[in-house]
Amino acid sequence: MNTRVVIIHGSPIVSEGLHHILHNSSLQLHDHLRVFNQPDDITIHRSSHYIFITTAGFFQNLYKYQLISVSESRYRFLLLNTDDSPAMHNLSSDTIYLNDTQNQIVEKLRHALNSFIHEKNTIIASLTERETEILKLVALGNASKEIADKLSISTHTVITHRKNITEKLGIKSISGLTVYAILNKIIDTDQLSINDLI
Amino acid sequence: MYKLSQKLADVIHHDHQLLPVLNRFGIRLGFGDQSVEDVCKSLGINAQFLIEILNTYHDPDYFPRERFLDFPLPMIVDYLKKTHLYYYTYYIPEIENQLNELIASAKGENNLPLLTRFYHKFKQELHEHLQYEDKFTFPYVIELHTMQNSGNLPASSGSLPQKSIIEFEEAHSDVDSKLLDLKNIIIKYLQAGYDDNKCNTLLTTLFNFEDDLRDHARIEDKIMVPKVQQIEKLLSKS
Repeated sequence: MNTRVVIIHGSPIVSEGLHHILHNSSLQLHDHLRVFNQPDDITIHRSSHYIFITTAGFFQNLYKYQLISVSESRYRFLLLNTDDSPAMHNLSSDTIYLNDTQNQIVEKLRHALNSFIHEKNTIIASLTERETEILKLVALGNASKEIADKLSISTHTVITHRKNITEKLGIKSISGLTVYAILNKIIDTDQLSINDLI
Repeated sequence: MYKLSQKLADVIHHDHQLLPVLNRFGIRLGFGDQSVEDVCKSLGINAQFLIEILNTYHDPDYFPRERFLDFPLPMIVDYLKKTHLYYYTYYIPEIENQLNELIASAKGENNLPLLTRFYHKFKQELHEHLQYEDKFTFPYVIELHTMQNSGNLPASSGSLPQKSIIEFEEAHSDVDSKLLDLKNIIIKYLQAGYDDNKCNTLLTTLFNFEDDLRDHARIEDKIMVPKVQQIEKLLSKS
């Protein structure tokens, strides 16, 4: 599997500068290194590994519109901290700062590239007990607000759990989650009609 | 990258996935050694538009936004409509057939009928989406285009359509994510008792359909919508 390094930044000073540094480094990226001004223009190939070097805002965009799933082990994120935006939780492998030296930047990318080689694919996406409980309620047709009331937690917490469930399973739609819940006997279909659920 | 001077037969030998794209333009096989340009000329097709579409489908990294924006709206809408027709007449029934065959081939206890149920949900949503565009969005786009071209700008904004293209074009992401879910359910969570080859056939079709939908959505969201917004802006100023 080849690895593509994608720099996305609205400012050509930043993106072209970064491109120059990485292109002339010892990493031998050649045409696997690409620069984009906005995430919209990128098309994700399913047969490649990706390292995205971008801001928190653009990262959100990628996640939302390109259907990139952080649970997939073929993606790495290097946060480009050029606008003091809030950190991307723990999703990025490292952060590149405007005042980093050329060497520091190259080493950070090298580290991310190496993480593909050393990876043993041990991340198993099993749901926690709480997540399973919430998945069950989602599959039975409850909205986030109703789930929050039933479990006496905040709607915000429910939404976070739902995001994590989708990440782990790779399933986004409610009917898709319901299929998963039935397949894994998380909900009992003996007493329920499948046609009512999906 | 394909060029106008290239033989169309060579293009197909190089990437046969482009065949359905040719059909959308009304190009049928038997074009001998003619170049892309010559085939287009004899059929009255805009060759530049065809070559850009072929290259966009062939190379996911290639998307000449600026050049696409130069093509007239009716040409773009006509292409999008033909793509819809291809989904109605080919992909949707084909996926359904393959799914039914997979289920018929299954032995023992299995959860395959659950997939059919999910597929129907997906199909229903896709149908609604396509039909909405055919019935409302595309006629709206053509109406705006005609208004602009006739120089017949409405005297008052009262005769302007009340909606804007943004309201017509809700994101495609719902349909996209259901298709992705269907693939994931099959790949990650399918249980024993199915025929390998039939399952592979179905998945291959789903992957191809996903690619086709992606290119289709790109042309709608990044070419048609911005062009229409431009006209809307002009009309609202007058």
